[in-house]
Amino acid sequence: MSAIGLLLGLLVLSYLGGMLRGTRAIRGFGLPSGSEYLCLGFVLGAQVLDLIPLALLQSFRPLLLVGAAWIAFVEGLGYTRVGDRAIGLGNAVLGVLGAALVGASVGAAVWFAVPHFQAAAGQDRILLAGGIAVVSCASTRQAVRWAMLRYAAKGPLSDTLAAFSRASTLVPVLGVSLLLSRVGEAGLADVGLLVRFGLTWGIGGILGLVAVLLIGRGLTRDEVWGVLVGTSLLAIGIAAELGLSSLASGFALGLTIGGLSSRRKELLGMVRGTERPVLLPLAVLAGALLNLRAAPMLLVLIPLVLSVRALAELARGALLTLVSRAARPAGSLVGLALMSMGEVTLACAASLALSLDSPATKTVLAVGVMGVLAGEIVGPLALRRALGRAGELDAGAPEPERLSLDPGGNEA
Amino acid sequence: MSSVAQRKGGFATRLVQALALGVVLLMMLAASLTAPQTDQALPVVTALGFLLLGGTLLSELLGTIGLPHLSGYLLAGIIGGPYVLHLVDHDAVERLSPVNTLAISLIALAGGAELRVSTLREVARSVGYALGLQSAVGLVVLSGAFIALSRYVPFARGLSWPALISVALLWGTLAVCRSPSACLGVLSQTRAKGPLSACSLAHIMASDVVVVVLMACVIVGVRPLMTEGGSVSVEDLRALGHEIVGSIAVGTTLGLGLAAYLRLVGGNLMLVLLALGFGLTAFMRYIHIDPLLSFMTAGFVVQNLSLQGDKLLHSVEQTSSLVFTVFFAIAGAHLDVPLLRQLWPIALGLCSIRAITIFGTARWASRLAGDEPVVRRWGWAPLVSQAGLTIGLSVVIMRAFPEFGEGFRSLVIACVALNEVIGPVLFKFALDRSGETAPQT
Repeated sequence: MSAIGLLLGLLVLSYLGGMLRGTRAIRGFGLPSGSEYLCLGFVLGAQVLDLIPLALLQSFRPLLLVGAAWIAFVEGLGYTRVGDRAIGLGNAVLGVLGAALVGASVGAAVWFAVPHFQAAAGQDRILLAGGIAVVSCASTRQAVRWAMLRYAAKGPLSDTLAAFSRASTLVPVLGVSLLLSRVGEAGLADVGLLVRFGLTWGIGGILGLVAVLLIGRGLTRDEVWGVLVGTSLLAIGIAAELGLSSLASGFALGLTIGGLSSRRKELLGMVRGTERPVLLPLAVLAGALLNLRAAPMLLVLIPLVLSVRALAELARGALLTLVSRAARPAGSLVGLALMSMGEVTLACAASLALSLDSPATKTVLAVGVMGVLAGEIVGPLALRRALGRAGELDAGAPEPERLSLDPGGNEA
Repeated sequence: MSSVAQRKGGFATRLVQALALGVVLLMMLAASLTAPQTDQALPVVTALGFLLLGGTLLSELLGTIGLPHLSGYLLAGIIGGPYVLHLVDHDAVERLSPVNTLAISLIALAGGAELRVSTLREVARSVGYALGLQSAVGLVVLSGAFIALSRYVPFARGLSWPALISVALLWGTLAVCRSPSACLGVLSQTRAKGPLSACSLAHIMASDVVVVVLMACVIVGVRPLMTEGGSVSVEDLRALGHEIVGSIAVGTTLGLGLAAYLRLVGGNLMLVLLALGFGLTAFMRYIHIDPLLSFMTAGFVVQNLSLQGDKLLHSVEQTSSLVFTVFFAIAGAHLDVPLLRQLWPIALGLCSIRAITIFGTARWASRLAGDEPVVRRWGWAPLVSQAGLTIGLSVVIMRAFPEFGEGFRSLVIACVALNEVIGPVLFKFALDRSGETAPQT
């Protein structure tokens, strides 16, 4: 396949993504994480049909990095809210701590297990354990949204899970930025970890401030797009050139704009429509990036990671039932309901694999993809069960403001 | 978005914009000094971000003194480009060339869609006179000017008389070339409506076709004078005819398809336009069809053979705002400042003669056509700009006549640099003075 052919294929996928943005379409078909597109990419990629060879994929590397960071930017922009509601400090802390607990459990398991199977050097071991922790800790807010739409779920547990999912996205982004600050190959080689970490978030933060100041000064819609896309590309490009995490810089940019701009809602309405058109091509390319032959220890790592994650999620569920009244009726099963992973996990896995070319990051990508697929099976089932136990299924039509829907039922 | 659309243009706003620009420049400088340049692809992302943000900010700042947005985009490219601050290097500029492909297709599509048959009927007489006289007089006078100044042109000094006349004719033909992108860029910013806007657009779009045909004829005609034993080849003209007819046929089909899509589906038009801009352009080049003419025809067909013209124009406008910013900023980054420094006296001389010729001929044509006073007074202003098409044709000449092509192209680039910077300013000034600029732009 030629570059122009691949580009056209990606545009077609974006087109499909734009069509699937409507909630009516989501109700009809499609999975919460979009993992069917991952599988499509894997089939089209070098491992199966070789229609998207790795060399061609490399030429799309900047596009992939931008796509992954743009998803993080959109997440950052809407981070503090689900629909029209703020997620609340308590839910935010619980969501972040819960995700950190799961990530730490999985990371620790991999850290201690790896030396038993392969002689991994310091950096590779850090990358493997850290990377797998990063791609195993987040929950996708799309799963809860999907359940709300498909099963007409409504109630305090739905809201709490949506808030936890939203809050959990901070953890993998922090993890990726820490990892790349620790083991980044290029750029600021002589600078310490904390400075590199600070720079990653500082680039996004400073450009976010610039964007907030400019947008607050009455630009036209076209100019606002110019500022948003311009600052995003600058943050992504500068961070990537310095060997830092472009994904984290994009997230920091979005977080700053979302936190400080009085026009957050308008801006979110503008950029949210781009999320799925960007995600689907990214999912296909991430699937095509998968190289199982170059990823060692998968046969050991995948069952290990999935089982540790399931146990950690059950533990998280048990803890949640202790601290959250809304989660109590569902029991510890509520933890498994948070196993669905999606756009952020995919973006983190792809971003790591693209930033560092090593067998460890290829393994991380493969484990991340498998985690998304496994989450697809376990998460929605557990979620449905948990919501059923809480008596929140078939509770009537979803309220648009809870899901960021426009009056026509489409995602705003 | 009404609140976002509400404009505030006070001192504080400009100060914030200037500060923001300073921060962006500092960050770019710091990154370019620190980054190891191990991956050639990554600076493209940074460059794109800088051109977009820098272009947007500079256009706002220059808007304070009445300059068009386009000048801001160009200036951002010049300042950040490889010849001044070197924040965007040559490689990044080259890698961003697909944006040009996309921009040209959007410009042509919008240009065609702006041409309504009813408007064309109104301005047909005016455009007919202007186009005929500008082409004929421009060709003769500017060829003569080139011969007169040839002793100052490095590559023309040693040429024999027949060769000099040939080069002069090629120069004269290029001088007739206008800039549809600059015209549409300024019109899109000012949202101008009126006889001057209508005449300018129709004239510049039509002159594209005239120049392409004229250039092919001149190349065929001068080849025997330039090449020993060379003769006029009818094959070249046949190929040209095939290209023009083919382009119109493909454009008509595309236009009908687009009209059907707009009528039946209508959604996600931005992605459809992107796919057409990248994919169809590549296909057209492969089958030797002129994308510019095809897209122009497609836009014309949608506007005049369906009820979807306004929808198309709106979508192109939405898609093109960011693309145009980057397109013109890239044009600025391409501007060869050292070359301009070297050739500016002769370039300035040739550009001045061209501008005077355009001015005089426009006045003459307006009098003959009985144009409205506003067109009679300002009809020359939109014709000064030159940009991508002129450079593209100079590349054609360079390939056809390698013996002097390189020097010829350098002089063209120097002249285009001047016309590209001055032309849009003149056009916006004319629109403002003629009262055709929409309020609050």
